[in-house]
Amino acid sequence: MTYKEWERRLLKNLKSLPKTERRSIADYYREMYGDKCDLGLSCEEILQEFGAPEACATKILSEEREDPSPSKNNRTKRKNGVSVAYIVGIAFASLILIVPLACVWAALVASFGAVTLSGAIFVLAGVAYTVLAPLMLSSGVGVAAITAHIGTGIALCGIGLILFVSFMLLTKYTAIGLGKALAFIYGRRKEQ
Amino acid sequence: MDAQLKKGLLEVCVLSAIEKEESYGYKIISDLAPYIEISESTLYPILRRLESGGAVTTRSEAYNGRLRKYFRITEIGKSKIQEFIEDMKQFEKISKFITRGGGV
Repeated sequence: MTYKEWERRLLKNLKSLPKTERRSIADYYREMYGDKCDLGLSCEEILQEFGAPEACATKILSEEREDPSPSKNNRTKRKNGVSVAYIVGIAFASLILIVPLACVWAALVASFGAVTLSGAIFVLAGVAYTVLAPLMLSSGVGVAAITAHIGTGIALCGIGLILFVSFMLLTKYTAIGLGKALAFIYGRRKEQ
Repeated sequence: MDAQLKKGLLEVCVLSAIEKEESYGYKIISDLAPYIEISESTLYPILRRLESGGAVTTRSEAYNGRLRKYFRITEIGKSKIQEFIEDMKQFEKISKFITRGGGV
């Protein structure tokens, strides 16, 4: 096993810790590894001294759980403090900003959806017009008029397709954007 | 040795290892090795705990093309050592009491 593999397995078992903490642990072991390398120890010997990455992770995590340091408690309190402030802030912002903005956004999604639907109807109407117009007019008008009607039908189809595809994508990404924005704003509390 | 007792003891040992001059992870382990067994995965949480408790401060310095983190004891750390020494005096009395079988 290489050191990189050892470190990868260690960090995999420390996923419950914050990213900065994992980086700090990785830096610590990398420094230890470097110092032992300088003394002439082989990679195998060093990793044997470190022990299994899973065991190291378990040890670090168990210490982390038991850590009674006051600053850690303060950190937790501060985090809780932030959470309360965050909730109050979110409630206030929701009232004056987030909810109205979300409504506008949702209205945009709805209107884009409506245009998408109208695009689909345009396509259907265009197809129907292209097929039916020549049939209905075949007895009384000339070829030029029929061709013109077919052209109109095809143009309707084209407009419908452009509207349908572009507004379908617009609706999709606007809706996804709205979902992501709301998840970011309201989901942050969960992470904390 | 009791796990909690050893944990407390190790913290003071680490502080003592950096009392005279700042030191780094590997050197701390090497300095303590003749006196008490301490592994890398044991030392990390101790250093972290001492740092978050304000008993040590850290600085990083480039060494051989990589970063090395140095730990320096603070006044809080020094007072922790003093507290431990005072506690040990108490323990010594209790130990004598226990070893002679209690009573006056």
